[in-house]
Amino acid sequence: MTGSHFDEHGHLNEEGVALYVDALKLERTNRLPEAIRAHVAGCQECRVNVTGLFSLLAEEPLTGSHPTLEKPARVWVIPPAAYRIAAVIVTAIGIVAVFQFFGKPDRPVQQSPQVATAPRAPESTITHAATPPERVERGEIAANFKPNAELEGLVGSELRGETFEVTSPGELSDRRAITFVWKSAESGPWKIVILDNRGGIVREADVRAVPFALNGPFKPGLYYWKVIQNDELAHVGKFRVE
Amino acid sequence: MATVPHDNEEDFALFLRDPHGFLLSYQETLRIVVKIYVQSGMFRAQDTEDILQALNEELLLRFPTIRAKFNGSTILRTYLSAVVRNLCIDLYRADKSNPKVVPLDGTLHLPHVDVTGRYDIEHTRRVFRAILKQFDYKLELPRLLFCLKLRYRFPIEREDVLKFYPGCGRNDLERLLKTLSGNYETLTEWEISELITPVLNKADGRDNTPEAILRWVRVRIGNILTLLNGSPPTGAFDQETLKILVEDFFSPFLDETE
Repeated sequence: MTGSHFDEHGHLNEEGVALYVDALKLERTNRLPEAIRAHVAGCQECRVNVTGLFSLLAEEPLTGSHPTLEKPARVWVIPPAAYRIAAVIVTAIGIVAVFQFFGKPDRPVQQSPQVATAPRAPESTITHAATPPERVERGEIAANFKPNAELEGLVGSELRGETFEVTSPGELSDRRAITFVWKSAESGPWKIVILDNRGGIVREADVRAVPFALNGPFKPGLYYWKVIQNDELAHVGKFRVE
Repeated sequence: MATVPHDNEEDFALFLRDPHGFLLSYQETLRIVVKIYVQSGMFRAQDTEDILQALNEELLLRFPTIRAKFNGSTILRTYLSAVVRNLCIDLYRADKSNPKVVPLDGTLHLPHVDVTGRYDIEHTRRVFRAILKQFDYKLELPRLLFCLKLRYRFPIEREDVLKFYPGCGRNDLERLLKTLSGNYETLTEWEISELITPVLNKADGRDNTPEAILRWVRVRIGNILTLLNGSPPTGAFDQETLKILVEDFFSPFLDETE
């Protein structure tokens, strides 16, 4: 996400400044990406821009939901203590089941007096319960597929009024590499920008001719891709990696 | 002076479907921005319509680029206002480099400019708080607030020290509070700096000198004043007016008068 908020000099671009100002107005600076907060904390030039824009818009109301500063989706996280309790119960049931299944031994085990038995190590109370991060990870992966309202609106719209026929990628793509194929009235070069569903730039590349392949790997999620030519938006598409 | 609230998704749909229509809906905000700059002295009142025209022309010309660069991570109007702000600064710089001849024969009509409404106290207070929030809230801000209190000789409380140095030893804390919790107007900047430097160094794990601490405080105050006054400068805040804001921050007392 942070890739789309900095310019070529490493300072906040207009969208980065706007995001910070939105956060100030909504009192949600704690939800800003850490890279943006850290940069502004150490950059007077960016503070000038943020403060200047804030000063212009301080009295302008902000209503409705925000594309990126809303509360994160509630993820059901089981506290570690619950897992330990569950593990003890499962272990106890397992021990009971083993005794019931095998029953008492016929003869006591005779131990050779020369062989010293090693002290029994205390049984671990933690067995193979599902690790807490798994549930959190599932929630995070689901969030990566949530459509971006603004970018969805651009997908498939006629941007320059010319035909732009896309053959690839389709809706579902291979995480290892994405191949781009299209027919356009204009010849190249173009610029491709791949964004995640939060509007963050994931990859950028200059394209001289198609087909053009971008190597991954790409994490599971919903991605949008923009084709830009002569500073104009030629096409916006999307694909999923599962 | 605020505009009617807009729905961001509706704005964005219009932005895609009908750029001209969207710009029309944005005119109210555009006019407010230009009025603010006129009131601050950056533009002349009689140039308002020319400036609005120039901004609209630039926005239409740059619309494809604006749309290409926008990644949807922020409110569209905020983003557009950031673009407009930069365009206004460019216009100001271009205008500044072309001096105009002003007739002194009484034929120049200067419309009345209302300078009373814009820089009201509540707005200034809001901007000041926004400025403070941009500093590192974990490391720098608590130290900065502590030093601002010292700069203006406001009494220090236990919490002021513990916020930037939670592990402050009892002896250090008592030594600071003994001198700084009451009236210490007679102490010089240097004496205060000598007193606090050991504690600040312990908090940061550094070995700064009292001069370095003083320099840091002066630079930070300079930064805050630059932010309050804007760039290009449109305000006239100084160390004395900053004192009022700092005092209000710690014990709010400023009310907008009816």
